[in-house]
Amino acid sequence: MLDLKIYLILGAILFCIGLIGFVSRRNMITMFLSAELMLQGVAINFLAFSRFRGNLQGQSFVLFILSVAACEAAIALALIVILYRAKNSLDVSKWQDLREEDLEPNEDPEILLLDTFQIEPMPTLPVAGHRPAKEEDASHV
Amino acid sequence: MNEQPWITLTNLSLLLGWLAVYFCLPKRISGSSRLVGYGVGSVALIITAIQIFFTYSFNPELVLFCLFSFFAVVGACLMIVAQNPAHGAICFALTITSTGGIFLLLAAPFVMAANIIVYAGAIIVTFLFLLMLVKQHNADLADSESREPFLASFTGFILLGCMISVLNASFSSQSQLGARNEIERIVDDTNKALSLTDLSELKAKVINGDNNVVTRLKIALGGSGTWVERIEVDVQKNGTLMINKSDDIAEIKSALASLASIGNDYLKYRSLLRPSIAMPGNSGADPSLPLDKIRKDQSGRPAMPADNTTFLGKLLFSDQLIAVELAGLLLLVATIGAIVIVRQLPTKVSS
Repeated sequence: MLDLKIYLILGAILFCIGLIGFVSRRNMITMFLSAELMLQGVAINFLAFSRFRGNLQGQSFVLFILSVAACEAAIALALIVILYRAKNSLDVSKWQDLREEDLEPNEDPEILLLDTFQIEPMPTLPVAGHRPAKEEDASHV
Repeated sequence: MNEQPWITLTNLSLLLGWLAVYFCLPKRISGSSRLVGYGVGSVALIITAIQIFFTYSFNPELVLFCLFSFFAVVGACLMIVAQNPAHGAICFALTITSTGGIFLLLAAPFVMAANIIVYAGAIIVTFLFLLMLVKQHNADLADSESREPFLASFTGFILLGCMISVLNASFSSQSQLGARNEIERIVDDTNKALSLTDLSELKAKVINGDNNVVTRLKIALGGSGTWVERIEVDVQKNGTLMINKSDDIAEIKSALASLASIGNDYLKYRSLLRPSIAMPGNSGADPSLPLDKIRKDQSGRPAMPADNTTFLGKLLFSDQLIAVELAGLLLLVATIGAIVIVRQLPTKVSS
């Protein structure tokens, strides 16, 4: 028969993998999924204690974790939308200017160099078009 | 304290797992390090599986556990190393369904269903976001480059190693529960002996062959440490008092009284983690009951109610009613907050 320990170890493994993903990845959506993974590890812990104690309070706790995770998902995705609007990227490293003023930026100079090469050229209109007569009219179209 | 060897199979598979995650995490100059990472990771998983199959007896639960936890851990690892976040979301779905299986093994069918429903919704919404925001043609630099992969994976696996070694230490073969039962028996014997008046009867009660109650208590307390030192100081008077040899009944009785008080102190202050007051019993077994007094099912584990959802509903709407209401309020506030955050303020039209 399996004992409590092996379930707790599984929860610990999932939690630590989520932790690694959260601190090392730079895409905001991957970071969000990693946070959800950590919550899954915690939920396995609660359910294992509930099973090996013969008591349902652990399961009710997991239901509260689920509702908090749903709230977190709503807020996090809303934040991702406005952060994407501001910088046109999902990269959290673009927000390093939120650090305190006297701190050095934690940036790899080669990353910045690569970044300048990969700037997408703006789309250009073919010459066949003609400018509208008044700019005020164009803003209402 | 007995010394644990450093080179164990657990530590080896932890090391290999760390290397696998480190090699697989996206880096600027990756080359074939991903393939190396996959190889090392599968070696770590094989070692762990061998360890599990040698530790536990073979039964269907073990097979199901290994299957579900394999897919959960592999899905989680692939999720954090995925260069394309859409692949990451699919691997996360694999992890969620596998943990659903683990939840079923832990006798929580309602939580399993709720978990899959909530996370299926979350994953679909995540997919929508990926379709909206991720540049399809040239991959974002944020996905092909991770921040400090060496330090991050090292930190994570050090934390994992600490947790596993703590779990191994606290679930060691001489379990805490068995020791507590033995100490309870010793205190019981001592109290019975204290009520006797005849010297030979008393000696027959506390001395069992070579072992008297003092030796038994020392063994049950682990053979060393502050509690055993306290026995040596209080009861044996630094070894001069031997219950086997002494013939003074008053001296033996005072020694036994202090022994019983030490045993009672241990049971009181070094208790298992459990609440000190009686908790409401809507949730199944009373949490303040000792673990060995709970009703067991035929697998030797505490019995759980068969109609899980009924009892969960009873618990949520009686003992935890305020928490349920607060969770509902939290959901409402989060919804309003999400709407307020993403609402675009109307831009002023320049006139």
